[in-house]
Amino acid sequence: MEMNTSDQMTAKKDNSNVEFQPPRHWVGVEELSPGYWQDGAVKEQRAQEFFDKPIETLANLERSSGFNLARRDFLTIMGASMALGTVSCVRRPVHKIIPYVVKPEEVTPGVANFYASTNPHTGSAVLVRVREGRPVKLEGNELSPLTKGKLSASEQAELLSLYDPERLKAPGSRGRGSKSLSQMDWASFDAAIVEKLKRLSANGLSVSILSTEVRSDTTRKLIEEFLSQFKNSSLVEFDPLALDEVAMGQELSYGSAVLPALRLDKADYILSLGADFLGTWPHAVEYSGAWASNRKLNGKEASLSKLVAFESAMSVTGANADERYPVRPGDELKVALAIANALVSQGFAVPADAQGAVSSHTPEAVAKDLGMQEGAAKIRKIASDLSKNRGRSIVIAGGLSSKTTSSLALQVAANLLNSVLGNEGNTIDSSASLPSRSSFAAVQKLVGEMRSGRVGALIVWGANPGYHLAPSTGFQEALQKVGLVVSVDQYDTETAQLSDFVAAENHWLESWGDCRPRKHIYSLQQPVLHPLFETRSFQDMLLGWTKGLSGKAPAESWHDYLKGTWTGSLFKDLGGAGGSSEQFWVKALQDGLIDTTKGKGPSGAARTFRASACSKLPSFKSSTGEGHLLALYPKVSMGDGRLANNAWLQELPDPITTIAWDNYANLGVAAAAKLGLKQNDVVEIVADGVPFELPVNVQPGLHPQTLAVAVGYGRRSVGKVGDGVGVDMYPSVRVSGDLLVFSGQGVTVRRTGRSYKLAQTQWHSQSENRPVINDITLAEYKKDPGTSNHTDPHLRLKEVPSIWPMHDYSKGYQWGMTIDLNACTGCGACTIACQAENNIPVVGRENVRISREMHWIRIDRYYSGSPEQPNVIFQPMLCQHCENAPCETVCPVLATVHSEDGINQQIYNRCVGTRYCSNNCPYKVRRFNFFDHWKSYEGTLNMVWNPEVTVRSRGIMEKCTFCVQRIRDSRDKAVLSGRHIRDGELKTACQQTCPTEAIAFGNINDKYSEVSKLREHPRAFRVLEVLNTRPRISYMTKVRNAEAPSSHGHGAGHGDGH
Amino acid sequence: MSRVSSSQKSALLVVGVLVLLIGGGAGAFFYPSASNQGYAPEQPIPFSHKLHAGDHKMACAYCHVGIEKSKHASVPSVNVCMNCHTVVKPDSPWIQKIQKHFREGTPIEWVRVHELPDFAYFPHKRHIAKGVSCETCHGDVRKMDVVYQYAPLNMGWCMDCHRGVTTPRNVLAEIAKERPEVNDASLNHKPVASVQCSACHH
Repeated sequence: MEMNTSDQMTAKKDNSNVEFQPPRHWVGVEELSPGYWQDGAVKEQRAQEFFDKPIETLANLERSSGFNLARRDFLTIMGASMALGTVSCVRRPVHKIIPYVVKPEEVTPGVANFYASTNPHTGSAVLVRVREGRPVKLEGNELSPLTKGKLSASEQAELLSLYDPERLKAPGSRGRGSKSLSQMDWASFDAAIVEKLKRLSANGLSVSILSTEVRSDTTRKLIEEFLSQFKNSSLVEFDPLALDEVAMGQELSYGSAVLPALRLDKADYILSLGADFLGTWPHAVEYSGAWASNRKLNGKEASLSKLVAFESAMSVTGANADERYPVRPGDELKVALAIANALVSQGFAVPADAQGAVSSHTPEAVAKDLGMQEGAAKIRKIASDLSKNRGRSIVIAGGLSSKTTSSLALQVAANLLNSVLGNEGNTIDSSASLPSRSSFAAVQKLVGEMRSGRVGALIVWGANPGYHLAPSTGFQEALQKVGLVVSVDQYDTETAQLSDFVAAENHWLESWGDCRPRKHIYSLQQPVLHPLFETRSFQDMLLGWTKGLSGKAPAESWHDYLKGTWTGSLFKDLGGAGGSSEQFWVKALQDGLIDTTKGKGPSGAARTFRASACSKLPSFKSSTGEGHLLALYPKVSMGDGRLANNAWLQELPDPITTIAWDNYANLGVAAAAKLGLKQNDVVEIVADGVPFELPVNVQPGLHPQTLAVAVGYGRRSVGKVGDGVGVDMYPSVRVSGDLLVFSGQGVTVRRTGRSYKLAQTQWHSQSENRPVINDITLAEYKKDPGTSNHTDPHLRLKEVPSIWPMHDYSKGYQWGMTIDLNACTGCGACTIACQAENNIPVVGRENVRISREMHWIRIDRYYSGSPEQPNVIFQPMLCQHCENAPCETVCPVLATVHSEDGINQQIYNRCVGTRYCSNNCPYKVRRFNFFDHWKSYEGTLNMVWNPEVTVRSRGIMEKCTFCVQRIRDSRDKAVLSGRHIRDGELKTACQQTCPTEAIAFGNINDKYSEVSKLREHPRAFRVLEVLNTRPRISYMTKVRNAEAPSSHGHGAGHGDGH
Repeated sequence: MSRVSSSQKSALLVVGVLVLLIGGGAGAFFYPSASNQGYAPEQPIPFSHKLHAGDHKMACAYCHVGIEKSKHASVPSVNVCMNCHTVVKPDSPWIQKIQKHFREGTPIEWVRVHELPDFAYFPHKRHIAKGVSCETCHGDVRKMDVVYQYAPLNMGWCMDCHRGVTTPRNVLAEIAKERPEVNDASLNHKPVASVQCSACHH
């Protein structure tokens, strides 16, 4: 049955009469040129099962970072220790059992406890699984009406940061600028701080606190009480990724500086102007879920929402758009105004103040300026679609890659569109938003005061201005004028390096706290373990210093203060909530949050657009110059760089570029070709005189003038995982008015002639050119929903007589999964959840380069269409648990066998590491432990292992188990209470955290289970069905709400390389 | 690297094979048995199961609280000892040692007797629920002054029970309530409990 597709491809190429037809779905632009397929080296490489060559790569690994032992030395030592081991070890190793002295009542060794808490950085309510007093997994709190029990990749990874052995272990002091930190005990630390603060306040100097946005009312109250002891003191809040331009735009347009909630569940037509609300925006998990609710085609009517994106850097949101148009950074404003222009010509009215700007942005002029083919018609179409969906459409703008000098005007334009279209108050809901406090304007004011010498002490809590604030902001220079700088952080950060005192702060899982992500949600943060090191919460420090300064503190401890506030003023504000204040507190602790609307959600009204805001809108000016424009963007993994020492996040391949461990200069295909650059070439970029050296990633779907680079890399002082990974791009940030300018600056690009191999996974784990994915348009789906009717007839499974009897899977539980490619945004949350649940090790950059990453679930990204404007499709790929599994038939030691409940089992203790199974796996989902990766986990990091899953040693094959430990656990529970496992009761780690609920899992023998129904859905298809492997995982075909691509037809016209 | 002639090659091969054979043989001879049957280490406090469980007829679950609800039977914490020993034999030097641990908040480091490899997951609760008695695996602890490993605790021994060869009668009867076919003599050596690898190895 199997076709040798590559041979056929070759045959086709040799025949010059046949026109070259590129594969419909491609992973890299290389595949689009006929020359690539004729290249001998490529042919050889693609004919291989794996893209690494063990002989070569072992030589590379010798003496490389992370493996200081050369292979030969290693073998010698191993040999010697084997011999020693055989002779001396005649008695078992003696292990101890150390029970508690007094066992806490709620702890039963071997049984997990769950505690509700809150991530104060994002406001997400979490549920922490705690085993014997240590957290082993974070999950979302299902009671949260915002996240509905889901977490993003970086929120999942916070667990690893908790156990980071490079966190600060005690407070200390340092001579300003000196590298070494001399540790102190808390008593002398507090005494020193109090003594200095007293002297400052006697001299009439002010004290300022610079922190990341404080999302807790109680903490804000405490900070204000502390600061009230000093004259002219201030609290300044600043996050580099904060959407402060959105808040400022809202203030200009509607009078309140808020981030309104996006009601994507109500939106049928979504226009994103550089906004990455599905990836890196605050509340991205909430928005992803709401967006996906209109993408699943599960209802009777085949209807889909439509997402159109104009953006410079390619974001997760852009990749999921039905239509995506690459623009220069800053062009988003022109698009917005051109749409307004088209709306005016369709009869909509804009305020008089806006008329000049709007009328000058004719769709024709803007389309020409953007280089959009048939652009004017497209812009008009978007405008008419928006108006057709008025009240049910939404225009979203903002974020780093559109934060140019015109970012405020872009906000006003987007708000104007939303108001004109009647979306304001419907899909844009500001009623539940609290004032947005993060403000660069406040930082500028602070810098001015620091420079004038009026600031006596600066306490930096959680913020990292030493890294985030570019020299152009003048912060570091002004810091010299501040007499006392105290840094409160978990790491000895860049800012801590510039401080006099460094206070070691708790991880949030070790601290009390609360958070108010929206007006109606109060989320409580409770500690789940005793601090691992000699650290304290910032609030406890403030209480201690207050006591030292004035002799009395508002409370003995932060816990008392917090509880006092909750059982006091908050209890009263919420109207008593029926019961005693103590009951209220206990209930809040147990639930983790209080929704004052009891799940109903807020109900907002439309605000009136202030015409005066339109004065910000510029008249049309066509772009000049051909040079490159910088677009900075955050990655879903690394964000602003706070979690740079988190190896899980560093090793998570970026959804778009599939590159782990580095940042890089993204250049469009044509732009790279013009400069003679190819993948991995190192270029020097000069932005306003500041040079940066970066390797190139050739990225389809970028405007020829866009050069996109991720921020959050190049940390100088965070720890050995994050230090020096990638290049710090913050120094390229400029100041314009009250805002930072991240994008739109002109840069020069110069090739250096050197190259740097990026750890890109997109060429790993290839399926020998066999098409594994499918997508159709909504029109095609409406005509014929059956997916298999849209695939190549050659790829359909023909019933073939089998020489073996088929296995009987008709009885008992039979586990199966479905993955909805329409809902999958590629965000990578599943990958990290799986990594945490299943003890998947980190292998390091060098190993990722040679395709030895260990992730059990990877997100494959494919492009289709033209490299200038490609469509993107994500496919989470994991063990397919084939009923006829090719791996099982070739294992010589029966280490991989099928279980009665349809799971392809991998038995580590039986595996001898022949790797035949991986060789024979058509999906390339098996992972081999080339080294004892667990040995790189130092000290406290070893507490992160899930005790329910074996930690694998060297020479062992592993892969997705369908979270068999969770299946066993549910089975135990069901059996002991004499019932069956209920549908939905058992969730795999990936399924549990998926923000869009793209993954369903359950018993396929149960006709009523969700997974059974989805498997029968016309959209369901199984990958490489033609091989008769009978996978237990079905994928739901991606259906785009877009025009059919011109090259796309049914059946044999696909040219998938066969 | 200098060239090696074919005769040198074959000599090397012979030597290599010999080394492997002798080394392997010696290894197999000296290598510790996977089972530690009979292992009876000295404990920091000579706690007698014979006295507590045998003479005083204390139930196993009084101290080993996890057997019904956890995979671990669990060794009691010091406060469980103190339930009785605040008043029982407070003058004994060993009891005083326990009291000292309790007072000072230092745990007692017991030496582990029964140990499965890290890649094997054994849930006590499932076995207790099916009526497997403690003695089946741990022997008659009521007669042991010093606890020793009674059963081999290797995989073959586990499988004998799971396959119905050595399954205690009462357990078979319990299983037969749901699956009457296990009483069928013709089904001898057919599994009565899970023999799926991932049931224990995951």
